[in-house]
Amino acid sequence: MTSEPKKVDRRKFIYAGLGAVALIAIGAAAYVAMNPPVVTQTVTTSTTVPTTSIVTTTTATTVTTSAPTSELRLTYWQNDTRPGDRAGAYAVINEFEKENPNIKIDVEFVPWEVAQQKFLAAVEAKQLPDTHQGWGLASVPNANYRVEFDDYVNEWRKEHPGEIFDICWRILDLQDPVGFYLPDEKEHHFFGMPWFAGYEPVLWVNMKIFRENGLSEADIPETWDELVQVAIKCTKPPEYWGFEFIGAGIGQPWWMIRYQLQRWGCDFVKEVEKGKYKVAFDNQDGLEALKAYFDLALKYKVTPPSMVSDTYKEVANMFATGRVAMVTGIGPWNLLTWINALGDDLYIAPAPKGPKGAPIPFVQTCPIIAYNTEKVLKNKDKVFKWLSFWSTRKGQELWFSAPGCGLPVSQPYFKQLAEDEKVGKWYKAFYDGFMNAKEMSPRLPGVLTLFSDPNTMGYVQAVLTGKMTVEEFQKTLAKMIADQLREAGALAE
Amino acid sequence: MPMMSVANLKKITPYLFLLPTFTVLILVNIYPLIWGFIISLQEYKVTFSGIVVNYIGFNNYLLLLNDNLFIQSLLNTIIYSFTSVALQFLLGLMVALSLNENFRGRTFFRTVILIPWVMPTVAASYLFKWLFHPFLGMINDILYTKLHLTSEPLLWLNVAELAFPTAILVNLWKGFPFYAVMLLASLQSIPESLYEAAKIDGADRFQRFRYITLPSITFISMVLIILGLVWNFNGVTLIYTLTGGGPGYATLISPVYAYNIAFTNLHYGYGSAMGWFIFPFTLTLIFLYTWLMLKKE
Amino acid sequence: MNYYNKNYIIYLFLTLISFVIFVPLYWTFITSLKPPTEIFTKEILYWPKTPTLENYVYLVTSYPFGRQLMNSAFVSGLSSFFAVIIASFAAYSFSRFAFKGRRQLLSIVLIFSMLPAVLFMIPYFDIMSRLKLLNTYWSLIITYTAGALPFSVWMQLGYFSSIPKELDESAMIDGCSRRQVLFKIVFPLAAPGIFAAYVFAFVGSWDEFILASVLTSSEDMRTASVGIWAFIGEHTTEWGPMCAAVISFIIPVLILFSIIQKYIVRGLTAGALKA
Repeated sequence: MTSEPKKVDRRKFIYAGLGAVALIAIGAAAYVAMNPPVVTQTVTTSTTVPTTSIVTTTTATTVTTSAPTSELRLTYWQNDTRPGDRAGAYAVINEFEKENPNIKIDVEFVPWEVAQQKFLAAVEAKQLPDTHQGWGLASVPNANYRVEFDDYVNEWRKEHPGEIFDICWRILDLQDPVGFYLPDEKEHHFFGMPWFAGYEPVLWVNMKIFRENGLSEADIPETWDELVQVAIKCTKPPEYWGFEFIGAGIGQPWWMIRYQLQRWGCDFVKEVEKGKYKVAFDNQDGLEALKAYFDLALKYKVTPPSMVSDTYKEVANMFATGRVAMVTGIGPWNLLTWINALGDDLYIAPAPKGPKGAPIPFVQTCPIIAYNTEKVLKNKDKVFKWLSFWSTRKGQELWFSAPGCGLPVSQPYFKQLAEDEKVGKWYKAFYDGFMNAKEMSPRLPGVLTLFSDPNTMGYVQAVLTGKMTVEEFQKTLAKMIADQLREAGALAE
Repeated sequence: MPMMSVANLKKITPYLFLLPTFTVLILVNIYPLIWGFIISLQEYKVTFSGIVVNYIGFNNYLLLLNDNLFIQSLLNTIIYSFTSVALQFLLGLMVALSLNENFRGRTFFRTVILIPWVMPTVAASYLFKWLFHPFLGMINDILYTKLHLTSEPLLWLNVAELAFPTAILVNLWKGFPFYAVMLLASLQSIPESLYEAAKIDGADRFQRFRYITLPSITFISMVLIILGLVWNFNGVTLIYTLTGGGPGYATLISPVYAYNIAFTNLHYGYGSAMGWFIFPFTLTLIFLYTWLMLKKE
Repeated sequence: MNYYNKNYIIYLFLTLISFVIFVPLYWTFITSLKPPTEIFTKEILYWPKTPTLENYVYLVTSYPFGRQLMNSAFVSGLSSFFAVIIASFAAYSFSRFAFKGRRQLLSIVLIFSMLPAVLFMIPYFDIMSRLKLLNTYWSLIITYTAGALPFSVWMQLGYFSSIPKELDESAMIDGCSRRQVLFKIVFPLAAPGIFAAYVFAFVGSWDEFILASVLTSSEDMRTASVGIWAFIGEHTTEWGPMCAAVISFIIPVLILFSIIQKYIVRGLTAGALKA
């Protein structure tokens, strides 16, 4: 055949190609087989965020986990997976393993994006981790799988008085890391140890923009009306705007709206009797609160037009790049980034109050918890050692050295930060907030899907884009909440 | 050795060849399929008090028909798929025609157009989200701040009217290389002699294109379009990462809605039903394809 | 239009397209070279003030990204290999024989590729954990192979269809068994097409993310596409390392492609896609 030579050529080449692929595959398989996963954890001084952390930074250490002997291996899932979080986790794990040579921790970093799915899949397959970062999965029944450590915790508290903020204990006591009340919740039990905290009703100010518009520290608004006036002064589109709130994202926009309702003495719901709620914003006050909120964008135009799809991260970046003068509802999570970006122009103050109330401060406390796996149930002593390590002074310093996220739950350590020369002025505001948080924010019934339903975010955006009026927004929301309460048998008649 | 007669062996040979394929497909997919279908008949909700499972028959499907958001998302999906595929195909065709010519630097361009195909969808759409941010992103910085081509910063993904086209644009960037490569191959297989003969007969460029090029790629084009439609009907990642369905519900397409329902609201039953509801749409497209494919023979 | 005009237009057009393609790539590249303080600045920086390799260093030292890239290559490479081989037999059958149920079976194969994969996450996790295959390569290889099969069948069906049946028949008249026909005549002829199908399957599974994130847990076993996701946090995104990861992800593949792209196109051309 005339095409004979070509055929042979192609064939040879293709065989060679496939052969090479096969060889590579086999080679890789052999390599993997001969080298079982060696977990090398290098903790370096924080290079991703320039060091303004005042804590003595940990030097580079490497720990190689070797083949198990007669030791206890615990799995630990962490959902905060940024380089700082990972470094912090490794710092804690390394030190803990040094102090407890017969306990080894297998850490898995499960990014928030897949945390929920992964957890549910684990539940279905009965493959829960032994320990887990204890929050953020508000809509998932991890309640049923937690293990109680009451005796251990109470003893620890007796042995370490004044070590942890009182308010944090109270929150954990009520199983309330993010402010939800679950009807069949096990109150007054401890399922884990406090790890870090968050606090969001603060007002962040970019003093540079203030100065450019003839304002100073004395002009930092304390009431909502003042906020509006200051924001108007500080709006110079498209260079910068006076204010931004979170317009997109799951959950976050709704916390901001809640604080707004509280400024007018309302709330999403109010508990009438134990376990029974009524809708508490479908009245004139609620309407005024919502109108004032949306007027910032619709009437006064002091917010950037990108707000409608700016999630928490974009708002944080808008503030960091000096495009927004004031933000609220953003917690301490970006503190060090902002210190680097704005330096001494970064100011913090309590969130402004409204005509009939003020945002009720809420100290979110994230615990580290354990699930009812066989290993945990058989080794509660050792598991508690691991859990409580995070709450000790050393554990706290290690987590925040890298830096891990959040605020310390250790009161003495936090005090030290608040009195530090360099970073004290920001930490002090938080510290004072913690110390003064006497009133517990009223808890919301867990049946509300508002904070976890990506489809409800559309309502806020509909108002911002003019497709829904504020009245309709109020009505739709009220109806949705009432329906959910009724379905769960929690509606007060 | 074999007990079978030659005739019998001949009869089952075709099926024997298909055996490995079907074995793998069925073994791997059968459990999820059954699980998914049964779930869609249930009200399977993950709540605080545990997993609530109620058998409710086809109620989920009835709920779907009353769900305004779902109907809207379905419309969005249809518009999104058809527009995306049309644009991807056209651009791919133009690129393929260009690359079909012989010129220096062809290899370079051929590699460059592969870049969007090779970039992971997640990374690409997340990056575009940043690039298209009206104030933090590069695109407006160039268009508005530096070149003053627009009178004000465009709100690409922030305004309902612009978000949808922008999403289609990102989809275009990501998807056209596939069409370009496939069409290019098809074009390259057209014998040069046909064009020569046509030139001799006096046909001009457009006539050559219309009577030689176009018919040669008709079949592959139809196939690519159908496949593209199906992929866009089911694809979640791009829209989910780029806009999450927003702003408002402007870019919400059915697969994203189903994903939200199933994995964020944790109503697996409802989400599953949604998936199965969309299925007949893609099914008709597949039947169309096989009918076409086998008609050719 | 003469020769020079036509080429001029083509160059212009392709350059424009290339520019549009490069824009995100360029941004990714420079972001990967920026220290964290320069990523979000008031004035957007088109080149880092202080370019640094710290993001890449982080990827290599503190994060097992190299290992994850290898995982991706291994899993994609092997699963595509299996898929293409298995699919070639099916494609041969569909193209050669006229048997009962041919149309329906072909439809069924294709239907499998159109199922909304997202809803399969949980059942897959369940199966794999029962088979104790969680966090191993095999769970991914099996699911990816099944996922790549339908499209592989379709692609190769085209190539096989263009190889005339008469070739088989004349060989069999000459005394070859079916097996010999298959391996000595048909496969070699369709080999470029098989290769092209392999490449497509490879790229298709290369950026698969959802299944990989569910079925693997330890960072060492993750694939690179999941590894990239880890940089997206709840309150911030670590753009520096993430962009470095993306660049490391696509540059090797692109280099590979530039070398073999001639063969891919030739493979696709090998008769298969003629009308």
